[in-house]
Amino acid sequence: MNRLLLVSFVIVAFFLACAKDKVGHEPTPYNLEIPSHFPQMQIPADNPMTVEGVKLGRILFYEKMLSLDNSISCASCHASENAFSDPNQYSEGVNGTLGTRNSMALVNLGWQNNFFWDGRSKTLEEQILQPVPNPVEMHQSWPATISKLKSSVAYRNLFFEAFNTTEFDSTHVAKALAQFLRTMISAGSKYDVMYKFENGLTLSAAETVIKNSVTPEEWAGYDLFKSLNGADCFHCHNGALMQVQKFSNNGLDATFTDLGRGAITGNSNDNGKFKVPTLRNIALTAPYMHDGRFATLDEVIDHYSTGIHQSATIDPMIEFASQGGVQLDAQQKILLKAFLLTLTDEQFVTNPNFQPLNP
Amino acid sequence: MHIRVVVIVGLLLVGGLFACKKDKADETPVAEVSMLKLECRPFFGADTLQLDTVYILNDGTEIKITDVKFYLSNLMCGTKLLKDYTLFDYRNDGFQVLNVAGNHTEFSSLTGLIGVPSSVNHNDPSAFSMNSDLNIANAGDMHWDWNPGYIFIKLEGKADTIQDGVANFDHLLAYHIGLDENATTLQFPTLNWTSISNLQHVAKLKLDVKNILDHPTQPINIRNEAFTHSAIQQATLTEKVRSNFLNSLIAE
Repeated sequence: MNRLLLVSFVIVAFFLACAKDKVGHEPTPYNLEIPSHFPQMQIPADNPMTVEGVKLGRILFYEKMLSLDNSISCASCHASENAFSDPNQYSEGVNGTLGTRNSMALVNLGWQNNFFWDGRSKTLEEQILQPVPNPVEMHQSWPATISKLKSSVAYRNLFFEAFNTTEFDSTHVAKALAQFLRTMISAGSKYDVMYKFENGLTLSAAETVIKNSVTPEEWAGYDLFKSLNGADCFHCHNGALMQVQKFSNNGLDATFTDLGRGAITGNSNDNGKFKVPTLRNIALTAPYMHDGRFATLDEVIDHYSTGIHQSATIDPMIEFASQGGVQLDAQQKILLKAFLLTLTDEQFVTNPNFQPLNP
Repeated sequence: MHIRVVVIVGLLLVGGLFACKKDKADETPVAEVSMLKLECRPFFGADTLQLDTVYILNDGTEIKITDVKFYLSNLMCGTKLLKDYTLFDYRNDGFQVLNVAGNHTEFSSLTGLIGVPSSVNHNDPSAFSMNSDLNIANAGDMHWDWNPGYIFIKLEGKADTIQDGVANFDHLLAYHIGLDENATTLQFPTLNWTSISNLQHVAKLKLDVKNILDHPTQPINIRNEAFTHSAIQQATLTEKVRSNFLNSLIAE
């Protein structure tokens, strides 16, 4: 009898030894709702969206410990009231240092193929790794940043919940922030309804009401925006995202002080080219262009109307470059601006899910 | 009794070991698939076309081509489909037209369409699967949302039209061919597949961009035929580009 007990014990112990290691915490999959007129989003296989990851990313987005003197967070240069951009021409980093380019608005990042004005990062996770150690931004090494975060019990718990580890590093920070940023989808502007209507997509009852509220001036501005002989904007700004994924020299300068994409590729044919930004929420994201040279939408419209400079790499889509621009008259400028204002998505900029979790 | 217990324990331990053994799924041999690669090599006359590089037209005008893109659809041999839709993007993808599983003996010739068939040309570009070249995320600037549908052929460049010895490429060129009526039937009566490995064959197309512009019977005068977006008032130039493109795309 004793022998049988012993045998049973040995067998049970043997099977227990074979049992898989227990997973400490299984994050909850996050259901990302994609607007019906948007393409599906490519989520990296090694960074699936989770409720805990998004929450951690949201907290990190507003975390000033990411900077050397705990003075700035991501939100410092990407403020919600400015559609997650910076109203200053150049963003101020730690100790008041200034960059050389205007902060890009953070919106619909899950559909971007390149990041930064010069496209030097190919993925969102890769992009996020850069501002923290950048001397003109947060100016703090990643080891120092991780050390700060690890000193917080709250963060240790948050990282454990999101990634099942307390031994987190910069890649986990990047993944969490990327998850949060992918949730920042803007698809609720008046333009979205106009776009869906123009493309024969089904409108809900609420959208039909919005469609019926579009003014004749806004429609006329939209027509101008799309007109080959009007403002001719649509070559670079179209579709649900209001942009095409490319780099373009839009005639800002005849010679370049900032090579833009050319500095990354080393190809002189790319000199003076910058990422084409979305026009979503354009009324909220002044100043404009890669160097924030234009303070108002009127200045931008004037540039494309009469301020184009020829250069070796100018985009062939700037068709009226030889005459300095598309030559809009005063009334056309008013109409075009009326359309551009339809791109504002109030639901996006006031979305409580994008605000600080613990303000 | 003692022997019986030893035998039982031994059997159970062996059983346990088998139960603990890792699945060998990753060791299952993967069936090798024969692949077909279709390439298109753009030329400018006798030279392989390099984007952003200076070439000379028949009238002495210096020209740089900055973009060559086009859609091919319903590529078939008889009733056998090679590929439904594919986007050729020279700047981003090089020579590649497609790379799909298939047997080269089944595609000795090819028919298809330059462009996108009207049956899908006006569909919501966000609704195609993510791996389709028609999905807006992949089509990018090859989709017109202002005139819903795809650009079938895109040829862009810039020229120096004043021969004064000063390189000033300020004469811009953009030929965008779209709209249902400009989708063009394509036929390659013979397609030569070359083996590049045991399981891969390649066939090559050739697109002579110089022939599109300096076509022997209907040349394009880039000085006053610099732009078309297939609008009604640009119909003559659109048709010229469309037919010249068709005549300039051949199977090697």
